Amino acid sequence: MSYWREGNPVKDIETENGLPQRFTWQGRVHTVSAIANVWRIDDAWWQQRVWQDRFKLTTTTGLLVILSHDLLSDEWLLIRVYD
Amino acid sequence: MTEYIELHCHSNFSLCDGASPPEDLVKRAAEMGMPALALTDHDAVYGVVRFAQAAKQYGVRPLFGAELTLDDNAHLTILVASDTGWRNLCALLSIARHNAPKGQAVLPLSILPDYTEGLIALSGCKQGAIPKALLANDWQKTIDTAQQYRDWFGRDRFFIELQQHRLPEDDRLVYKLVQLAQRLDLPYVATNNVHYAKRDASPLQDVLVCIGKGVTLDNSRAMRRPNSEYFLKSAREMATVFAAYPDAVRNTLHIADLCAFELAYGIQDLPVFPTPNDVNAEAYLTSLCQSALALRLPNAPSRVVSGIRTRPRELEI
Repeated sequence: MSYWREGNPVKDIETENGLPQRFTWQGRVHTVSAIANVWRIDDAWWQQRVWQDRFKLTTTTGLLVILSHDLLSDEWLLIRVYD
Repeated sequence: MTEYIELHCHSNFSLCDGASPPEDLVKRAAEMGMPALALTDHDAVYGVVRFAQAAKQYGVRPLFGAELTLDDNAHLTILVASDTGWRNLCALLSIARHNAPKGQAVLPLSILPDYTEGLIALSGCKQGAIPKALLANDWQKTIDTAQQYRDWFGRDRFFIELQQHRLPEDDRLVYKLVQLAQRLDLPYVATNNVHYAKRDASPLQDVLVCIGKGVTLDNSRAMRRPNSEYFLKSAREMATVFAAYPDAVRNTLHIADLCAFELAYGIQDLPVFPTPNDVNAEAYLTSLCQSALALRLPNAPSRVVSGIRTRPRELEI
């Protein structure tokens, strides 16, 4: 399992009703096949606020990952890959 | 148009937990067009007068209740349907307060079935006995507990409570709770376990929890709520969250209709005082006072005694 505390940037994110549908990571396009879970974090406001939606999902390319959508910066990051 | 009424709402009278005063909650409800709002503070009803006054000012129908803490450390959401229900809730809270150190409340579960008339019960937050049993994967205990509450409150007065705060386990828990409701033919209802009127009061709620627990923000992660979703949400927001279970939102209106209790405040509703031969209480008090005059004022001049007898000013107050 790979984990990036600060997140690993993904590009060209496509969403529908706020849910990720497709993204590019490490130069490869990954299409979301199923979203297993969605949750929201809002914490550490007294330091540097972390306000993110998290998506645990699988892709048609065989990945099981956790994507994070930063609600403050609108940035999408990949924070975990189960391998 | 979708309508929703929040039935599980804490004010700052849930000490060191609720972050918004009753007035702010009612004002926010009015801004969103919510026709009614319930106040369900932890083991207490001390916020109800301010809540009722604000509700009158903003044109929101007030519903009254509390979140009870039971002796198995489980929570149970209670709403008042009638005058009898109000008396029963007050009795339960008194028993619970007497049964615990100052500032705390613990209601013996064995007491509860004697005081359910006029009350409506919702199965509670994640600290409710039913969600706790479900989260522990104890299906039999879940069923037994739900049946027990159903028997105590009645099939039409006990609701499985669904909450979805965008936490990792919430979707699965809601799904299981709905399964439970369907299996026992019980209705279910959505609530948001509100702890502040707007999202921006979430930091204050965190600080209150830390004060209550005596810990710093850095050391309080397990005690604080993981996000800021515990605010008063609109009908549209709740309908979106519970899109798969529209009855859960609709049933909030049904429950509000069942809550017919109106709080009378300003004039005290004094208990009936038993008097000999059922004589009028005021006349009895006057006769007691007059007969005691000679005892209390043995050396008073007769004109003073006479004056008091003929003009009992204090008794007219």
